[in-house]
Amino acid sequence: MFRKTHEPVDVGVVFPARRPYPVPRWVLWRGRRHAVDEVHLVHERREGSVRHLVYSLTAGGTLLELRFDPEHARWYVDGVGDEEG
Amino acid sequence: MLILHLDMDSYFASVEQQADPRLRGKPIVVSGRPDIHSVVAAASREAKQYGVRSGMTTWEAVKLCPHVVFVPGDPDKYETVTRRFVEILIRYTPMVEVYSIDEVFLDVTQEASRRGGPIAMAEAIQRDFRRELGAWITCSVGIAPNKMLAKLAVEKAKPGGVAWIVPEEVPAVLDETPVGEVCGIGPRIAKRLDLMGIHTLADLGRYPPARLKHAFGVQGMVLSLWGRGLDPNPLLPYWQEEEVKSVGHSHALPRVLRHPEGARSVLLYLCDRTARRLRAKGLVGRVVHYGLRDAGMRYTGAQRALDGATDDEDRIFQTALDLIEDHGGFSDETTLVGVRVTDLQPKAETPRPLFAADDRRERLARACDQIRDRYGDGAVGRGTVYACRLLTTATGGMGRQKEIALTCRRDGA
Repeated sequence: MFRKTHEPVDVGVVFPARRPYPVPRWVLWRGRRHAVDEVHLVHERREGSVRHLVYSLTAGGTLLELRFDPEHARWYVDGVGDEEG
Repeated sequence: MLILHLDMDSYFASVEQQADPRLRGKPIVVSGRPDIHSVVAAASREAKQYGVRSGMTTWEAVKLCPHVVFVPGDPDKYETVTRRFVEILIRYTPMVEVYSIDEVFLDVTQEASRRGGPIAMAEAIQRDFRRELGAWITCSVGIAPNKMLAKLAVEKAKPGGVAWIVPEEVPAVLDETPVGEVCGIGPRIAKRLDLMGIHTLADLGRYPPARLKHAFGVQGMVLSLWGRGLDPNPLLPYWQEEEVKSVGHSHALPRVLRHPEGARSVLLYLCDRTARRLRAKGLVGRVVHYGLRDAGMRYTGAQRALDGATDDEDRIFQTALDLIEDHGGFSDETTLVGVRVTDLQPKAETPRPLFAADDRRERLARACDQIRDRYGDGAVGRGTVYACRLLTTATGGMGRQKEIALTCRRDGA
């Protein structure tokens, strides 16, 4: 499970031509730049007419739930994987 | 005719295992909250090894597998993955029927030969899924001359395989398949068939069709065809509009709401959602149905026709409430509440409100809908259903295949 949080973060992203979603490459979180090891799943979360992109990924060995708010073009860490899973 | 039936393996659980690597290899169950007596929506392969199955209560799952991990369901996640796998399938053929959130039929009669045959095509789809969705999200594929047989074939393919019932094998499949294994033949029909001496599909095929029709009505003719390995149900591609016959919602109540006042507030919440969906579809309905289940698993329900069609939540709620009171009211422990509106017609074909007060109510409802469309369902609502909305949204609500098909149509996928 994820421990909930809400932290704005800087994210480096590529927009591949033949994939449905942008792919995060690094996350600047809590003062450190973490390379994204693997994106496990991307899904859309609807909030009214806005579709947020939610990424379950591992960056620097930590499981994170990263969210892109397309309305304000901002990234957030919404969840951090806790120890027991 | 060549039909592929794709069935996602342990779907919700596999998606959760894909999203969270720490859940992989563990017995997990996707459910509502285990502390409020909900049911297992999906069990992972590992949980299935302990006998845990979809539809069990969460306490039954714990009894079978004490270290099972409960994961709350996340319908947005499953809906996104379903939309993505449907988009992959549409690359193979436009003849895709979204049968449920985790089951799809494809008519590949034209395309299979160009792709090296149906088995090669099924395996290519499985590879695409692994590459584009993730290695943990797998599907089984059944291939057969029609939907009914393809659904039987997929059972042989699970988990993660491909099985093909070729036309020459159909008589043997009919001989060995108990009628209860066919989707559409529930336990009650299977029991009646058993009493008639019909145990397998082949028995069904040999039984005189007229006698089946006499016993089961129109469904008897369908049963007779199934018994001969035929299926009258055509594939309904995602781009074909399906006629909406009813709009409604039902919800299993969390324990804290299983009292008459709680059930009443859930009913109001469900009427609110039903009316909103009616307005979104531009429909009004004239007949209101309610359904309740009590702690002893007894169902009650009734319907009432209104003097005019409506999409007004208060009117739907008041009608359902009057009906419930006429039938003895809510029990002390109501476990499920449902409401449904039928006899639908386009709102555009009904007269405008005659009185100013009715017109104001309509405009208010439209304004609230616009706010919810823009800012989400929680942006505006009745204070009286606030707690129940939080609890019911936390505990479930899956199965949005019609919305997924609609999205694919709208996006021109």
